[in-house]
Amino acid sequence: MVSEAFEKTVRLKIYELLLADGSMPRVQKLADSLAEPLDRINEALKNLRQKKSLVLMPQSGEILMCQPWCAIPTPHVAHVGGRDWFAPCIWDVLAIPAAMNLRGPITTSCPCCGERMTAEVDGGKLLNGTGIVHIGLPAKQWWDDPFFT
Amino acid sequence: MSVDTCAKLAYDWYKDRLDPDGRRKTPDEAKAIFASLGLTNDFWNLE
Repeated sequence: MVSEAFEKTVRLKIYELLLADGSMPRVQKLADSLAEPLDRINEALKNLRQKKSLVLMPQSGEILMCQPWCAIPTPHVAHVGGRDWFAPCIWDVLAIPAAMNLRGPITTSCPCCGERMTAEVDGGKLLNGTGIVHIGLPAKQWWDDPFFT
Repeated sequence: MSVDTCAKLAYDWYKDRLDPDGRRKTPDEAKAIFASLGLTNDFWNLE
């Protein structure tokens, strides 16, 4: 059984590798980086999923989301620190510059018509961009099915 | 909500996520953030 301290170590290593490499780390890379057995890493990841700290791919167990980042291409992209970062939703793409403590433009698209939308944020301040953000599910249901949410 | 409100929400929610002690917000912390932005109806109730 892994400790909460180890879960924290794994979570911080995910972010460290993500920012260094520009992509979500694979489970094997986490194990190698921490010099830990794969089983312990997988257990920590499952615990972190239970605590709603990340989302795993159902078949492979790889990390799909470590919010606000997403491992796979989405319409929600933050252009920060010389890289493009994918987010699962508009809320999270606005959060990537905040998490990185950088000013950042973002691009997204209207889920109704596909129109390209842009905005720029700095420290929680919207520098430019307009529109309405529609949150489709009430907060109680956000983690029922994070793939849908 | 407006994009402006969502930007503030995103900042308050995630600004410390990369800190060594950063973590997911507790329900009470989340409620306080929502309330600070006027998001107070039952839609925003996490529990």
